Amino acid sequence: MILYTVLPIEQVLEGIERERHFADIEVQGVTMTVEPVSAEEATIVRIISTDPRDFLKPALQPGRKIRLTATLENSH
Amino acid sequence: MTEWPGSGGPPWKARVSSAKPGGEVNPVPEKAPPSVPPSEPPEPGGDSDRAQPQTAEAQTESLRQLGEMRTPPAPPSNIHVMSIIGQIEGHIILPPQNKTTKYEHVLPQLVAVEQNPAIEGLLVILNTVGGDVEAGLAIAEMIDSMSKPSASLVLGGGHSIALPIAVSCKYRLIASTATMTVHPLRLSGLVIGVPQTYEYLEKMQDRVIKFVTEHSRITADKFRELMFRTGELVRDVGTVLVGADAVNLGLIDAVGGLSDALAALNKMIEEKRAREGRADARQAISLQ
Repeated sequence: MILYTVLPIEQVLEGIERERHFADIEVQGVTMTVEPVSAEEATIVRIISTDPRDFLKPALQPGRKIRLTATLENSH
Repeated sequence: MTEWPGSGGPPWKARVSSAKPGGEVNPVPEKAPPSVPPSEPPEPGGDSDRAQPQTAEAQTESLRQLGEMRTPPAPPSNIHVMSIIGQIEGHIILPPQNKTTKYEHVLPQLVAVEQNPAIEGLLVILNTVGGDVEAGLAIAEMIDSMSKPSASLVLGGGHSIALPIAVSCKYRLIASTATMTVHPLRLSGLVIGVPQTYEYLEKMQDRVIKFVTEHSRITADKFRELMFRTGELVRDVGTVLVGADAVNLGLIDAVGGLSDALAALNKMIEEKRAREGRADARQAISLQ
């Protein structure tokens, strides 16, 4: 990886060794990588889809919070 | 994705799909056909992103079918805005103190913009400190290879890898107070002090220089000279270009702001419509 940036590299990479946890989940037919922030909420990190329209949907932008409901994953 | 399950289909089909979400409290009325609101457009190949304002019935239907209330989409815009901010994130997820633009999200968005017939132009707003070389070049190449008109507007700062992205648009503007920093590449992480390292870095740098010089009026020699100029930056070699400097050097087309960018984009759209003849123009008008 080569970073070409005006910011000092130490500043950019500060805290990169801190461990982060991600989960891949499916919400309404769209697979996404999320980072849980609490028991009820997660932040979207990445959308995994082959439909280009999914990437234009405001609700599916990285950084958006989604509500986690236990029922979705457990009762199918 | 499927806002209109069974729209336009035969009544039995509509009923099946309305019963699909798990036989919940959704009694099929005695008169089955009216359960599909007649106002629902039975549009052929109904593209939900075409953003027809949803009727109240459609919203209720959406709530019943999908358990979610879709906000009515705003009147469709034929221009799409993409703001590239913070660090352009590459193959490694950066720590959360960085604001990042994720290339794996931006690239499919560009595909959607190129492919969606309702979108006629792309406005790229840049305020970025740089980032991953490969990710930046990937975005630049994607924008460059789009058939639709594109305009870039550099606000605040468009540094380092933002340069190729700025010049990848067909028309580029810079705010008079915005800056662009041209400086050499450095290897982040483990640096092995062997000649190959420098050769490799040189090669990466050449990719950036090649893209910028091929897409703007600046020459490679001049760009290199800016890159390695001493005495301008406190901690580094390189040059800071403020507003008009970037225009005078041929990197950017003009100093301007939002209205100039939109005017240029609309002009390019008009020209493209005219070029593409009457058939396409008619289609574009009907989409408005």
